[in-house]
Amino acid sequence: MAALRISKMNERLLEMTNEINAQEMERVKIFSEKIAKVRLELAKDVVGQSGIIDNVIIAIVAGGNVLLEGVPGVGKTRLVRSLGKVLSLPFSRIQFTPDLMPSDVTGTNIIEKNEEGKMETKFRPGPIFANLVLADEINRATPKTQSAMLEVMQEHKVTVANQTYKIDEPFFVLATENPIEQDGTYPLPEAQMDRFMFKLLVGFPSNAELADIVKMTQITMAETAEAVINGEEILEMRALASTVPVVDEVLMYAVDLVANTHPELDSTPSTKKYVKYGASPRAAQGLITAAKVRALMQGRFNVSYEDIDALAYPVLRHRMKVNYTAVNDKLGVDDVISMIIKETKKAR
Amino acid sequence: MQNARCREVLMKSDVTGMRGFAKLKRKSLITAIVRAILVGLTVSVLCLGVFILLLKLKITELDLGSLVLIGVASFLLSGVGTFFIFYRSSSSVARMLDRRFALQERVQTMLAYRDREESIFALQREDTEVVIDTIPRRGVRIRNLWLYVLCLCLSTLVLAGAVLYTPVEPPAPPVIEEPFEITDIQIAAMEELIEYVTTSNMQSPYREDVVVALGTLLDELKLATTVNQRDESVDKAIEEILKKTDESSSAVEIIEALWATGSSTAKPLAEALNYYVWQSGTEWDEYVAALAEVRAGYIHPESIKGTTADDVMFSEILALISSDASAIPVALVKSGIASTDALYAAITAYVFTDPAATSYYAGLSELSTLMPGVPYTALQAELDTTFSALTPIFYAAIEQSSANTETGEYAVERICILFEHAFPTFKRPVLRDSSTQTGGGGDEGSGGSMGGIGTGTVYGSDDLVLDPYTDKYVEYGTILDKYYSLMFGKTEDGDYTEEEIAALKKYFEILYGGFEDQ
Repeated sequence: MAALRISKMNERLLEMTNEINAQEMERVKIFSEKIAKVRLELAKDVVGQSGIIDNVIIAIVAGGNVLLEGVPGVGKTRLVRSLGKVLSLPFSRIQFTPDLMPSDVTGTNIIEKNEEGKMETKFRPGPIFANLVLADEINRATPKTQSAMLEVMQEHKVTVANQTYKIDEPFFVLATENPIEQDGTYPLPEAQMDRFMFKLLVGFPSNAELADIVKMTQITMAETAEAVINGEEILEMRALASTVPVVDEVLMYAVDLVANTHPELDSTPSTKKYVKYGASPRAAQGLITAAKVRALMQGRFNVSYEDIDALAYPVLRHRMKVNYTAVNDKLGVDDVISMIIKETKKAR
Repeated sequence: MQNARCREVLMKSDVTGMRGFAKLKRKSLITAIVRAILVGLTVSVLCLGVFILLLKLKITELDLGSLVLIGVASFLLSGVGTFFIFYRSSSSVARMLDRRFALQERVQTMLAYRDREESIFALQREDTEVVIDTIPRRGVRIRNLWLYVLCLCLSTLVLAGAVLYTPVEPPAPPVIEEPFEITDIQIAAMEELIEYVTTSNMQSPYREDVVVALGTLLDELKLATTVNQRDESVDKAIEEILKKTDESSSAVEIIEALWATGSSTAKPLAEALNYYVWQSGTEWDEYVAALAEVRAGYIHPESIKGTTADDVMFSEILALISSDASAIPVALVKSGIASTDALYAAITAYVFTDPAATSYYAGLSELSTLMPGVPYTALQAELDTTFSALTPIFYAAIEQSSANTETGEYAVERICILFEHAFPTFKRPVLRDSSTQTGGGGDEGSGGSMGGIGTGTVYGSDDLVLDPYTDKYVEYGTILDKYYSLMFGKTEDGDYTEEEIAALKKYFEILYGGFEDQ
């Protein structure tokens, strides 16, 4: 009788397990479908830049902020705007100028007459109070204004006059930088740079892509992407992605990679030769979090070395600085990252 | 509800998705075993081949058991080592699969979280299982299997070659004949030897035979150009001389025969003959006197008190004569020597088996019956007289035998010294009885102790001389080198005249059979 009872219990457990697995599979299926839809919709407004789009999606699902750097006209702002529409998230754009004040970003208390006619102070939220914020040309703002973004980007809340106002989730900041016009700009401090999960380099489109852009914009300049996902779904996708397993070897590889960006530690020869300072621990966190999303986007249920290698560049390039030796040798930060990856693999 | 037992069942169910991996791991294990066997066989076969070759080339010596041990040990060591080199743990197999088939760490993740029950892990396992199923069956195999097989074939060829190999005996090294040319000194020494033998007391015709042998040797040596030719001629001459020496002397056979009687008179006789023939006859007279005393002891006045003395004496003496007469003649016959041999005849006469003597004493016996009262002393006197008369005859025979032996052996020794030949073993009687065995010539040893040229041998006789360096008496041969060195030093220092130097050199030449300038 006991054996029969156990046998029935086992059958029930198997059924339950199969049900759970089916539900999980459904979630994964939805995840993949949503990602595909987002890509499709974005492609309507943004020609090419598929890698940038994928990385932006990864950052958003992972809950990270993105810094987009590129020359004017390559579609940075358009991308973010389209993204706002596709994600059906409240979107705001902040055009950073040197005269922009912190309160212009966060909001401020204003004195208003209430219904009873009495004067009272009321908080008027700034453009930062959105789910998706485009911080255009963020390096044009003064450090004071830039620092106002720090708390928001990291903690997703704003403190004004000792009053803290939480920002609804999901919250993303997508900032842009123009690498050409350096006069009158204020380079972002390392602390703020560290708040960005990715720094993506938006390159000039190819001739074919440019031709498509011209053709498309001859017809209309309007963004035709439609909403396919909402904030809740993004949070669900984020929760699903966080469960993706990463084996210890891969995790330690990511850790070693970040540690090897520090010349003062027992790092690689290239690091000691070309790096001035290395990435913070947030880089390791960002790598793993983003790698989980990337794996799931590719239909895998585990993080691989390939994920880490692919995401090393957007995660590390803004968090480390090369020295004059690298400049002298005409090596950019991406070149040094490549060398560090190679040497880290060799050492393993 | 999810108790431990249920959890265990779940983990073992198909939900875990480890089937494919388990198969691949098993296959990996099999490939490791196959590799180990192939490598083990290759190494052991090669080792066997090498050792068999070494055996055939006589570089080493091993028995069958050792070969088997080598084969087994090499197989086990190399096989086990190979197994552990290629054996992969589960994690190692997972890494290998991920790397080789670009599975993006799926298998490693599946293995790392195989005990996790959350749905995402189950999905990951299922996803991995699907991917593993796409791995071709030959995906996990022995790479370069042909190389292993080739190595095994090559080592088998080595073994076969070693087994079939027949070592070719290296050609004998060319015999480099050492040249030889007889020196004037040697010729002179040989001529002197021939002269010595010619004028010696050696009995004819043996003496002439020895002279002929020596002459032949000299002629051959004058023509000889190599040491081998020299040695051949010397061997032949020695053999001939010893043969003639043996023929010329019956002493060995007679002495051995006499000794074998065990008689109280024959054995001493044998011993005395032994000493006399191979040394000077200094002890013969002493023997004769002792024997006479023995004889006298048989006839003691006290033993015949109150009896018919003469009859008893006669009987006893006759019995004594008879015992000698029977034992010694029998021995002589057994010796195989001809009765005409001088020593044979002398001994025969000595024991009174001469028919004339026998009849003489028979007549004495009759005389005692016919003439009672003939005193035994008269008989004794008669015996003594007869004995004394016979002694010179005996003496002469023995002396001749001694001279023959001495001359022949001297010639051989001289040849050996002159031409650097090893001394042969001279024939000596072996005096055997139940408890002792005495070699011929007493304790003098073989002819080798009589000296010779060469490293480690003692030249000269065994006479003792004073060693000026140690102030002790040592054997002559051991001091010779020192005297030579001393002499040579003085010749160099100008202590001697040219004539003296020449004489000294010649002296040592004769001793050494040659003189080498230092």
